[in-house]
Amino acid sequence: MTLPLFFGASGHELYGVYHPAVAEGHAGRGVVFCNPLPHEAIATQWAFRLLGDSLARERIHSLRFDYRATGDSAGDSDEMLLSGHPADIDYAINELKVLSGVTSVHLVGIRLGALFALEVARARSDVVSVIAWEPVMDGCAYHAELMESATPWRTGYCDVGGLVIAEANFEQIKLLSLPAAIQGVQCRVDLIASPHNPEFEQLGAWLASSALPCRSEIVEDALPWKADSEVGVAPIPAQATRVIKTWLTTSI
Amino acid sequence: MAHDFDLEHPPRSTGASRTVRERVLNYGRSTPLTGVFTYSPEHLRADSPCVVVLNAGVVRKSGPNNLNAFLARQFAHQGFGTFRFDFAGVGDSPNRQDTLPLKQGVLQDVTETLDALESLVGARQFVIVGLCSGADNGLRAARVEARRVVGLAMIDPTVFRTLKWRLVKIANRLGSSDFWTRLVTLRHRMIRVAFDPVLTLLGGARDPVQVVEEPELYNIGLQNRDEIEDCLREVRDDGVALCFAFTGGWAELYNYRNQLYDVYPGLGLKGSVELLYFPAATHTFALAEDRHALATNLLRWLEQIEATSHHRSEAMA
Repeated sequence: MTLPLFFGASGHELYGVYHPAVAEGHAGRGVVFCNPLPHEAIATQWAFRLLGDSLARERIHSLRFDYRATGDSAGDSDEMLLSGHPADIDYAINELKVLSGVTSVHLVGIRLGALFALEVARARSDVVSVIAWEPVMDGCAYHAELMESATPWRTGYCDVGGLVIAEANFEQIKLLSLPAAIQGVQCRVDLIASPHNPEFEQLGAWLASSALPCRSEIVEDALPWKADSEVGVAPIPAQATRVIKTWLTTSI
Repeated sequence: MAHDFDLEHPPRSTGASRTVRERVLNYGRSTPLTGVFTYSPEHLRADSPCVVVLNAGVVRKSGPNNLNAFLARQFAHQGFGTFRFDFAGVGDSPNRQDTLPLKQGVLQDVTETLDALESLVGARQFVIVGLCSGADNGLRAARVEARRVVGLAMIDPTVFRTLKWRLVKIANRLGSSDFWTRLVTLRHRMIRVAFDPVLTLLGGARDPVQVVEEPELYNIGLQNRDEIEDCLREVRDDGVALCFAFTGGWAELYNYRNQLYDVYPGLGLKGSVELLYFPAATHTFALAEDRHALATNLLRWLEQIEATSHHRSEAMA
């Protein structure tokens, strides 16, 4: 049983779905899911829904939500600002704490969502861990990838994968990178990567040599965010969700 | 439309305009369904039909490229309360908790949605909007709910090719520089087909065939031409206003403006239905300008329905 709801600041409410734990247990454990860019989020929604249901059966509360101006949250897509996403995650964490009574949370972020999760984790003491699922390694490379499918719309906007995005966001994307996002993070950072990204081997070695408590896992799943967002059918990333579930049910 | 908003969650306004508000509705007798009602407190017209937007395939209620959310807000700006929801098992609605097969379950979900909108927001008349399988499901729903449904907008519904479709396709192909480029550079599909047995004998590998299984929800609509024709006749005779919209993304089935009239010559649709054609648009209106054009045209049609509905009410009074 889930509870869809709006929450957050008046006039800028966020749409979310709360997956309450089916029974008490894993006291104080809650998870907030952090979406990637909206054209990728359409196809990852199903993976997060299944994961939320699965975690609820493991007695873990979770909340998945749409950033402002994406999905069912307030605002049209041309109003979306990536700079506001960390604040939206903040709202989601606070909402989950109110709904469930948990006092600390884990964040699970996909692609850019992982980088925003790390930014939030740096600023809050109630984030126990961040699971970064195929995080964007290099913003410039990711920007170039986005531009391959971008179509100019009106001045200052591009159509990316069927969604209008303000060009100001692209400048921000270029400045993002996983190594930079991890700097200053004090909590555990766990990493899920696929063999499609060979640079993750370097990152794994870097994480292992750093003082950060971390785990990493290479999974062979198809990438749900690469699915056709028009069709909405994405492969179920069974291995990745199994790893996440294991980490969340065994982590301290 | 009378409104009773003593509901579980407070209303909220969208960022696009403070006058448009949205509210989550959780309802459903057999399966808990979830939807979002969008309205403008300042512009909501009491006697306007409520627009209900169905899922396109298995894409969640915000729609492919957020099309459903966009349309809902555009309609709400003009005074039409609009509801988008997830069928059981899609998006944020849980899987069916009754034993109905999917085909009947979809109709049950629509009926329960209209019931909920009647009791929660006081709507009495409805217009259904659906894209692709949503359009086909909308037609089936309008048939069983013709008492309450006054309009049905079908965007890229199931449709059938005609002789003229083939001629247009050939003409388009011959007029395409890509066709001639491929032919001259021996990269055309027909050349590959002709040489494929030779390449196979020489040990060349064919491209692997990818079999993608479609969700069942895509295939529960009406598939048979006679059945669809009967259904269209029935809902039209029941007074349901019909609007058809076709895109360039549907060109493998529909490639000229008036093809609809040739597909169903016996129905005499010309002049009695709204027919929109967006040859430059993709199937899901991926470009913003196409989304705006769709919304503008659908709004014009909605206002016609509203005017007709008023005249009918006045005549009855």
